[in-house]
Amino acid sequence: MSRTYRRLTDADVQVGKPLALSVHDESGTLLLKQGYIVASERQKDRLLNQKVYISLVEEKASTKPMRPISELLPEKEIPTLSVFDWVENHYQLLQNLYLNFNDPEAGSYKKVLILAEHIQRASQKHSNGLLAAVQLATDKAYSPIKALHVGLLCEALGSRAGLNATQRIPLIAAGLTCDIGMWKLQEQLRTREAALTDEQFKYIRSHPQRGRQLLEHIGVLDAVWLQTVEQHHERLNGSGYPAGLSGDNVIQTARIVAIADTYSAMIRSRGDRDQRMPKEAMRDLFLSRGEEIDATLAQLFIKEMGLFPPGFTVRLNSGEIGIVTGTGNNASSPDVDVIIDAKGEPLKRAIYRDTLEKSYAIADILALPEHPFIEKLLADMWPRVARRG
Amino acid sequence: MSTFVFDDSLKLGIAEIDEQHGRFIGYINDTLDALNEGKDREEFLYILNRLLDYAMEHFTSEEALMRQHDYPGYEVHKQLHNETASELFDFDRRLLADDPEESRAFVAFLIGWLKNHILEVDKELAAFLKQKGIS
Repeated sequence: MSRTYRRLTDADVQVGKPLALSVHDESGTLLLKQGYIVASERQKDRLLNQKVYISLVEEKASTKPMRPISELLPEKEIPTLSVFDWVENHYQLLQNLYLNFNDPEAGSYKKVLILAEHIQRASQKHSNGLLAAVQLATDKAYSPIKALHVGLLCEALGSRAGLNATQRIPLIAAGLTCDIGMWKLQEQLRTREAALTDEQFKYIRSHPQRGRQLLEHIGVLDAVWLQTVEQHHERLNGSGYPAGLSGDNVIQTARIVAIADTYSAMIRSRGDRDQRMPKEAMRDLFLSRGEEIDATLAQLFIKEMGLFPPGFTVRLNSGEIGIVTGTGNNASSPDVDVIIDAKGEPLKRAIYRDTLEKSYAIADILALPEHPFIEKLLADMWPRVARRG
Repeated sequence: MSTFVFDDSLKLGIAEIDEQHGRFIGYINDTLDALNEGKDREEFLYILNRLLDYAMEHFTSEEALMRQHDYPGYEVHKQLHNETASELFDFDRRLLADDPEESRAFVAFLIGWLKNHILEVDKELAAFLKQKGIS
């Protein structure tokens, strides 16, 4: 007999109660048998975020091979991308956008807004996956991948800080364009080893104003976007640039970009500076709170990202090695998918670990290890994203 | 070493701060247990990571209370928080060495934090807040 499948929905899973029907993956492989008890809300969320199906007819063991679900399901869904392909697409869009950014005919202004909307839409359900994918995108040009990272971080922090969706669009746009005033120099500086020349130093110190002028040149009128770019290097104690503004004179969106931009720069290596570990970055942000950066926003950011942010590789107390997939219940206990077992053997399918449990707590951060199926495992770790966010 | 009981002698009478300090006492006791039971670095790092999360949250909320009520000792108090947080972050590196001396130093640091900070500077803050009618 053939089976009929449909996508698993919220109503199919009740925490603490047995599953009424078995759960299968796309190929029809049984994942959870009828009667299995989903133990926690967290487990339920993870299940619902995967592309899994239930068989509408429970049957006794059949000897006939099942037809793949892809043959049974009408393809009605919007085309989707893995978080990595989404990041690759948007990285390329940003790279192309900035090539002709100054040309008023290129429509850069509208393109940035469209990108900001994509980021906002995609982040609603995929913030962790997208942040992880950007974190793992280590082979990209510095400026565009950092701009994309800052845009995603602005959406995450802006949302956590209580800004509404409309208010967050100019914030994300400012995050994407905050370094437009030194785009080319930033790329050259990535590989520098010598100290900055006086000329380069002055150029960097004036990039917020030049960024604003460029944005005005391409037709940006939004005061928040313009002011945010101009103020993103101002610091609450007046030690920033270009104007040395202090306290309430630094607008909230500029405070948010300041944190996102500082963090993103810290955790990426540059010619003159090694990559910082996230815990060191969080330490520096925390110790600057109230002096240079907004204390409340700093704490919200640390809570949002955790001490082990999505995309980092960690070793657990069990000896297993995994990837942080989400921020979990608190800053020190993120969600982790294990890809290498305690004996050092690569796994074919990632296993979720709750790092609140002491035996699976995080012991250390590592570089991404060699693994024969790493691309497949990573692509399956986060749900797929609609092409346009 | 005996464990601490979060009784009235440790309470400052400001509900929000007391609730957080109660969690801190729990972490100190966990650390004392780990030391007495000769646990390895994994145990200490587990507690440390939770303490880092706790400390950043607790210091931020205590400082927000100080700013809200224009506490005159804000700058000094915040500086003490920074020194404590810096030292706590340093233990992340120190405990990796899996040296029993470092584990003992960690416990001593936490007890020092309790005695010098909570029972002294936080007490002054609590007295100030009570004058302002906060409880």
